[in-house]
Amino acid sequence: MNSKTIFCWILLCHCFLSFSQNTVIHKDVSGVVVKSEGKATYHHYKKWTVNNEAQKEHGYLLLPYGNFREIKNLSLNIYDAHGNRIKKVKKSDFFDRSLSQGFEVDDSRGLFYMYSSPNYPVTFELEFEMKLNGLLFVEGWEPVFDYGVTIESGTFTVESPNDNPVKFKSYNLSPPLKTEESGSTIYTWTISKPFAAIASEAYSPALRNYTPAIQLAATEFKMESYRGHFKSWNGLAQWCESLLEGRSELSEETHAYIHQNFSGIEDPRERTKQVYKWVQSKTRYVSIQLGIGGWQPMPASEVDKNGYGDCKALTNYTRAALKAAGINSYYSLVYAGVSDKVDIAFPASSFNHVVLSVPLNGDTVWLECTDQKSPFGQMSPMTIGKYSLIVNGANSRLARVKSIDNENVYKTGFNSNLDLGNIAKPSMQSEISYSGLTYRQSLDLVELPEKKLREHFIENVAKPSTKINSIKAIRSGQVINLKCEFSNSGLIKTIGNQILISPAIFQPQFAVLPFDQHRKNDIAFPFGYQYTDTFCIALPADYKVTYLPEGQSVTNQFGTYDIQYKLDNETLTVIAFRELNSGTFTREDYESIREFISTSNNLMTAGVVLTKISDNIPLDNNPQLDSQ
Amino acid sequence: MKNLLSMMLLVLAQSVLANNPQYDLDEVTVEELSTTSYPLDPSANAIILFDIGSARFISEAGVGLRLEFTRKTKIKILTTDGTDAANRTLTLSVNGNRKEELRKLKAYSYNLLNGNIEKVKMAKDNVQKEHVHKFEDKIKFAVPNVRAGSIIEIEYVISTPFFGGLYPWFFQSEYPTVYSEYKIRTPEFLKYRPSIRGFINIESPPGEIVSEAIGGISSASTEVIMTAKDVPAFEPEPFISAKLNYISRINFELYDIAFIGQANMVPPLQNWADYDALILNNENLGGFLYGQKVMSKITKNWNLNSSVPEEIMENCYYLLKDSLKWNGRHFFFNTNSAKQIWKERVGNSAELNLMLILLLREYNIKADPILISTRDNGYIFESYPSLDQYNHLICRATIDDETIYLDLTGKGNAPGILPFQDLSLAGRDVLSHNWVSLEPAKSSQRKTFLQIQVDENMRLAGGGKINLTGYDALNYYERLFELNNELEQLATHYRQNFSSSEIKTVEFDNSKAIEGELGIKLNFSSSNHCQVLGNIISINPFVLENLDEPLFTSEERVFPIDFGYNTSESLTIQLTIPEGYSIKSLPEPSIISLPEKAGSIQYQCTDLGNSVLVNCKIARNKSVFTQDEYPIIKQFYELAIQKLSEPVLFEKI
Repeated sequence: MNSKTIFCWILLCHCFLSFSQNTVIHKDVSGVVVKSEGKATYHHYKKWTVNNEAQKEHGYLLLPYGNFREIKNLSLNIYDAHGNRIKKVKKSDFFDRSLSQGFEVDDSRGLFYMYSSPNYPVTFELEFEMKLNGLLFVEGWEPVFDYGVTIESGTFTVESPNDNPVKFKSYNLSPPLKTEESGSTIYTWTISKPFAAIASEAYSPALRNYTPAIQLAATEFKMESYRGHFKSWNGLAQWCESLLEGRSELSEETHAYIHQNFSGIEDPRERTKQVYKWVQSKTRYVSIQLGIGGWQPMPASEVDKNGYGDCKALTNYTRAALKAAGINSYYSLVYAGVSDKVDIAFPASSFNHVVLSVPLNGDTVWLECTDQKSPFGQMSPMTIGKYSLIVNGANSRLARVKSIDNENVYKTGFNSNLDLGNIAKPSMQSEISYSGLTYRQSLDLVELPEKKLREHFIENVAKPSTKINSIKAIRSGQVINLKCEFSNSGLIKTIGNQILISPAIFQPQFAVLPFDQHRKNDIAFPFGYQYTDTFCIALPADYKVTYLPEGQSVTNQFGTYDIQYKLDNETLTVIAFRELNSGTFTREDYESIREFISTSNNLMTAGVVLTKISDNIPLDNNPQLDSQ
Repeated sequence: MKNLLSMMLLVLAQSVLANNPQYDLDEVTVEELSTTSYPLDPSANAIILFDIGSARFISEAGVGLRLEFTRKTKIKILTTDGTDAANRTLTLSVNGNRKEELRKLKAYSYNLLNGNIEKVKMAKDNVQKEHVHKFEDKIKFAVPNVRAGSIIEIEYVISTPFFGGLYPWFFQSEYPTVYSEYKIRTPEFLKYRPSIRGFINIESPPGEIVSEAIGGISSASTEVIMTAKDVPAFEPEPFISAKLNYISRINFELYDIAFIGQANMVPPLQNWADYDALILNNENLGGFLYGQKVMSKITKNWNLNSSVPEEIMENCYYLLKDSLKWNGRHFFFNTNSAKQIWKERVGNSAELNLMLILLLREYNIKADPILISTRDNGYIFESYPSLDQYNHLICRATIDDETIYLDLTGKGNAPGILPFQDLSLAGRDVLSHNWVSLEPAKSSQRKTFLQIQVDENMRLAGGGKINLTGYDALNYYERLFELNNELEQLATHYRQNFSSSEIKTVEFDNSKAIEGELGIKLNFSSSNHCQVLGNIISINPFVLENLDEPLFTSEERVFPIDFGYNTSESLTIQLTIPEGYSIKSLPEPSIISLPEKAGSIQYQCTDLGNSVLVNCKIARNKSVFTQDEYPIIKQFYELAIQKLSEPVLFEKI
């Protein structure tokens, strides 16, 4: 899928700042006139003022276009604070350049104009038309293009013929005015009173949850010669299927190879896994999407020959290979991004990526085919939990993407043994396990030479002056284990005849939230975090535990913290568990979340005291006695 | 005649020597394909087995003189990540009708298939041309059938009409290279000055003379073959300036065009003084410095209200900063006249600073241009005179033998504090033909005074102030500049981005902006600096410092460490002894010094009865350290973190 055809026409800058002087859109008058199933015209007029240097990006223009989009009648005027026009910009003054990044091959292009203003405020007045050739995607309206942007007034009109009406869904807007003209219907939405800017705050939910927006979809559409409809999700699925037609054939040789090597594997799940691994070893991801190739995959036979392809091509190829091995699987559209773009009640072109779904004994395994290192069934954080359109003829349907561990959680576990045999030089054996989303991030550790692994350990886990005796990273299933033996005098603090120990020595702190009595937005944590810790100390023969903190345990909607201490004769074991949930919380919860994180961090500072046994001092047998 | 013959024999011998089959294409062996790792660099994803380029001039009918660049490369892919090396992009420059052309592009992949070698040729549809913009085309090609274990071979020729910089060559890339060779043959009428950068050994024997005829002009051309073996992968390290300063490569600059029997078309440029003259005689820059009358008109109605030169300088600096806008481009000369710049109120970096020079001269303050290269553009190599090393021009004002460097491109910097980008070793005084050091004379200071107590929840709470100067302050002033000087906004930003403690209130004081100083007053609370162990409380008083992230982690260092400026930090923290507690132990006092007074740490805790006073001073008095000094500077910062991590212990009475 070609995500760049989605109409984003200002480079958004996500700086976590709030502004007292917002950018102000004085007027946004936009609209679409649909002429036929393959043709429409979009027109746009906007006048807005950028008030300060920090928001200068709000004046940087990028108008994307490409094979299916043509920009016409473009004009831009720029005015100073007194309303004097300081620049009149023609289409030829815009800088025309390709938008493909790195090794991407596609025909997305953009017209750029970046005006560097000597003074602020500065006002821009932009007007253009865009011819849409092919209506898979019809530009809607999202006038508030960033945090810190106010809109004073605006209208959006949609005109379409009654025999192919454009479907719409509006968000945070009053119902439209409907008028009819010979054979067509016009809807008009109006913003008549200023819509206040949404403040830019850390952990804010996506802007589109709050701002006015209109999503459009043609009832019937055509891209080149391929026809489809949006009467239901099935319409889009069937359209995709028509583009796949005749593109899933493998050469006889490959077919025979697959049959020979994989058909003998009894268990369908294992067979799927082996085919998937074979495809991974044979292919690489290269983004090539020219023309209709933005939606139509390269034939499986070409992927076979070239050993590369984009998400569509590699998914289609994996599907063909699985079919040759006797396994049915489905090409599945998904939106890969932080927040989902799919509104299940509104069938539209809301996807930018393709994955493969494989139904196995009632359970569906999802496969990411663009990643050669991805474990079988593990999906990327960008797709987990998103709605996916499973393309399967009349049985096409939406389903949520699942990952093998099906968790949006970054997990790290610590398992440590502290050796106090030599108190002057305490040493530690640790096994750190990375799982969940952290597993995918940590895969590279297995391939790192020891030198780099040591650097990783010092940088991310231990203190700088740690002496590492041995270190290695091992992968076992969906877990990366980092095993390390090291010593550091800072692991404990000795003072007189006492030893102070902080058991949760490696526990990462959750990022603290600042005090904020004026929080305006809700709080969104897209991912969860989970830390477990088991810490054992073999007590030196001549020492005794003289202070143990009390165990604590709290669970609420934000997460959990739990720390317990166990003491048997020679060993002290500390078990800690901390979790920060993903989810969206209301702004009223802000202070409670802040306090939860703070308390959870604080808990990890708890410590244990050991005291040297001396013949002269009588010992208290109950170590809990010292606690407050 | 005899001479010519022996010379030809020599050339022949040379070419026989260079004709080592090891560096031929299409000689892939089963052994090579079976290799799975590279002992010299176990982390390599791919190895460049050889990369051989050559450049020579040819004359083409109807087109004229062109440079022909030929390259053949053989790459072994070791891992899945290494398959990226099979996706190649070639950039072709375009300027109107003159364009670079790609010819004879061929690529192959080789794989082991049941013990046999399978060779696949790249087809036409594996190659795409992209029109990036009017000055650039890109050829993107993906070599087919590539996976971990494959070998790929690529060869192509680029013919170019742009040869002012010959064709640069990189001996080093993101992958290790076993053998890199570049052969250049330059005609006697084109004189190039090479400049070699980087930290690896490049063999460059003296050139051979080769007789040839280029477009009917006979030339005793010079052929030079440069080689490098076992070149490690280029890996950037922390605290380096531009990547281009460190990667091993060769660049060229055309400095003379002289046809035999004709007078030189331009005077040859032999040394930096020749370039100084070229710059000053240039009608743009020279004309600007000596020919502009616009300033007296501009300043006619200005009243600077001062006769003190320092104040006049400051006023001029701020006046122009407010009235002129930088267009974001670094340039070392002007393209517009002063009149135009003043009308448009916008200019490139040189134009802004040239305006300042004219303005200061108008008020009889000595002001001169200094040409520099920004950190991102790379250090100026003094041993290779060339124009293309410069990319920026700043102003030097001299008042009573004191020099003050000024640069209007900075955001929020006080006069005398150059933007960090400008701190690139040396700049050129083109008027007096001297190099001047751009290293800031003063250390950037950070002074922290805090008062801390243990609150009822057994967490730390407190407040205090931080005073910053130099680049420590500039970081904030740059942000403030972007926020229209709204201190309230800066405070919000600070509060939201501080991670080691929770900030309650924060206030910024910019009343000493003109001296480049900034004050911060703040109140905070911390959930992780106070530990309760029964009747013992263990406290780390450095609540605002980040002691978990070391500056350096790698055990070895390839490149020098370039901090850009010196720093001096002092922390004074008064920690109230909690009610009902007494001191159990305090960290020992400590003094740690770097050799030659390059740095020091002084740490001391004092018992004041009701409180403990923690004092720590960390100074680094040198801004660039060599790679040999790395272990010392690494240890220095490790010791600082270790010392600052030691707790203050209180015990219940």
